Amino acid sequence: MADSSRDQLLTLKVMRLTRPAFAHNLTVPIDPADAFGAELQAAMASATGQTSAGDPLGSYVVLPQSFENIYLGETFTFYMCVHNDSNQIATEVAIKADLQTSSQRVALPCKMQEPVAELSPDQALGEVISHEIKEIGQHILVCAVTYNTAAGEKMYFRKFFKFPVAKPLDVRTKFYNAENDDVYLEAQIQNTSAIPMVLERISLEPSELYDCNELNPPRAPFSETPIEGPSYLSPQDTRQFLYCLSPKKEYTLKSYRGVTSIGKLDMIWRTSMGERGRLQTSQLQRMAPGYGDLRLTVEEVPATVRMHEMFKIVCRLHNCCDRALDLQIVLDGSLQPGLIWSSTSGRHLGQVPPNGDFDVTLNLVPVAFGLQVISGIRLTDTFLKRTYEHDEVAQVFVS
Amino acid sequence: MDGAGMSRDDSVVNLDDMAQTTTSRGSKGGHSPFDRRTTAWIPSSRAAQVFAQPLPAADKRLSYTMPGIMQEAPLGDPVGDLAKKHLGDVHAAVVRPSVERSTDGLRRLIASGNLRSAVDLTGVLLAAYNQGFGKAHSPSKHTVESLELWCVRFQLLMALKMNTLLHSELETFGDLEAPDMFFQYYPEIYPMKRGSMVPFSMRVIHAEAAKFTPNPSDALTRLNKLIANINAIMSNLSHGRWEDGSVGELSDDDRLESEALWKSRLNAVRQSMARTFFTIKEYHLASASLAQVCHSENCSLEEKSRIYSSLGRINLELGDQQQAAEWFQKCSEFVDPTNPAAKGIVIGHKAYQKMFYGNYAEAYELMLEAAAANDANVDVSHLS
Repeated sequence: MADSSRDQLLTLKVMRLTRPAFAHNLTVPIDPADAFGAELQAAMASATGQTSAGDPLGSYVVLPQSFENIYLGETFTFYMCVHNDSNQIATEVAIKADLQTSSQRVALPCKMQEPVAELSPDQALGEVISHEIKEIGQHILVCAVTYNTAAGEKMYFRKFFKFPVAKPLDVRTKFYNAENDDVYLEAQIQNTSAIPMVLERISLEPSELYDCNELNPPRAPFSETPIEGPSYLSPQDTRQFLYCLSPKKEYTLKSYRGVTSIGKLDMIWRTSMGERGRLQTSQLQRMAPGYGDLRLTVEEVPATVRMHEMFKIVCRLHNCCDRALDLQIVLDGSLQPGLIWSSTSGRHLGQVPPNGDFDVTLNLVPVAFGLQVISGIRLTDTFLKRTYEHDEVAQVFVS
Repeated sequence: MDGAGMSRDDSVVNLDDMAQTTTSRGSKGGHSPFDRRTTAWIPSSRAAQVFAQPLPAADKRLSYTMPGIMQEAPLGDPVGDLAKKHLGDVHAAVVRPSVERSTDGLRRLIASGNLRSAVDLTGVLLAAYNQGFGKAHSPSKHTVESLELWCVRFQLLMALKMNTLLHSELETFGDLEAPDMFFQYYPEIYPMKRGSMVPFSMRVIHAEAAKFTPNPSDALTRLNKLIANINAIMSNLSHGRWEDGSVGELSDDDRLESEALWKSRLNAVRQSMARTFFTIKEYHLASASLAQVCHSENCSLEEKSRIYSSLGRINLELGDQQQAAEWFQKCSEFVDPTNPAAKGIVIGHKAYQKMFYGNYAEAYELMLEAAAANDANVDVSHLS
């Protein structure tokens, strides 16, 4: 290999290909009553080619003027060109392109890799290469050119192009547990890039344990003067999305204990003139609320009851653990002065198998007005002599 | 050195001559209904107070507004210099015209696109009014012609994007509402005339130029004040009074013409607001302002189609193709079918949307079609 500090016959140029952008017009306010204004506008038009002095964006589309920011999830497209500056013929010209990040080095597929090309003086050879950006941080594009001179000498040189990749979006998630085992996921997506973006599609791909129902309003129909805010997301602005995840019927409640995977958020967005980006989060995890061994849910309870009139509630006991529970119920009235238990306390309910359900009906009589809370259910497992306390299971309004 | 393209005779400029010369904009100091309409303005309370008292004698009057140009050196000729550097004197690539030092000369420079020379010429002409370099904050007299010169200068500075100079020269004008900016302040030169000597374009530039300062919202404040004043004027007209609220002879034709004039000025201010919103990146509000212009009753079809096309382009630039498509659709409804360039504009819109999705080959085909339809406005060359 020849010393790369010798004069090279070929030069390499790389240009990033982003979408073209509209040219910014020169604008000057024009008084419609002023004939001179039209003359000035015409003069400006002859100088720049724009048609009006009033529009901020012209109708011309220009190639990228400088290297714009590039973000994770976008596609890096560039044009690599090698030109023969000398008056010799260069043979066996080959170009290799690698993209290097802090963690890995990726060889970019390039048609000009094979040393078969030949470049006459003043001839050029180029190729467009695309690569999806999957990491943030410093990226270095390394282009290596090898060729032979007319004399048969092997020549070699490299060029490095450094560019940073930043994060375009920040995603925060919040989980809300509903009483009926549904989980609501609130996703807050913030635009952390420097330019406005349009979130084309934000969807949740649920894991196999859940069914997903998207609860976001559809895009408002077109109106010249929309009442809602802008359709785009300015830098630093946040938008929220809501999804309802219901556990699938075929799985028992046991599968949802502890940490479960909810699904992945898939985000597609567009920035200036259609520059597209796409990111997926990793599997979102949710910590299920612990129910302990025995879970009590109230299946039936009246919303309002009359004073001194007996009413009933139906409680479902679900055995969450792996062993059978032999249950005995004790009703403690001391915690609810406004309600009096009217069922037998100390009753033996029987055995509940693992993952099994048992319904029990209890009667109460209200003795105070207003919103009353039902408490005081004590269930004892006679096998292990363990007592489970259930308080504040439901509320009734006494009128 | 002929660089600035000005005539070599140093003719002394006579102030009285200038006051009587008909400028390129017509004699605003006159009393025709056209003059009354275009120069009408409701004085600020500060000015009104001064006019309520009898004015002191001409030489004892206070000078409130004391402007002066802030750049002595000529702006130079960057394009010519560059051409000379690369092409050499032999080619004499850029030829600058020689014009006389008058407003006609100024007009010729502008018409031929020599904007920098024109700015230099305004500086020379303003020096004759004692408002040249170094004269800021020293008293001087104002006439319609001197203010028109300032207005042209400001328009040129804005077109040349020389915003710092523009801003510093505008500062001495304050809010353009000082008593010495009104005809009422010079009864011996403009007897019985009321209204503002400040050209309306200058008011809008004064407002919009603030968007380039560290406090761009000042532009919005000033523009809103303009809108408020225009609305007050239109309210006076609708009640059969003159624009500034005084009672006088107002024929129906006169009133209708005046209302049309002020409505179109209101639209100009709204477009200025839209441009300001665009500069501060509030694209949503820019859209709303422009939509307001389109909905006003005196907006011409040509104007509507131009604005709808502009709105479509703004939305493509943001990344919202759906919205852009809707605006382009509206534009095609108002485009003039007899205009040969119209077909080209509509095809151009389709081409932009192809580019949005990366279909450059199809976009290129559409561009060729647009060029064939006699539209020279859309031009792109792309490597892929």
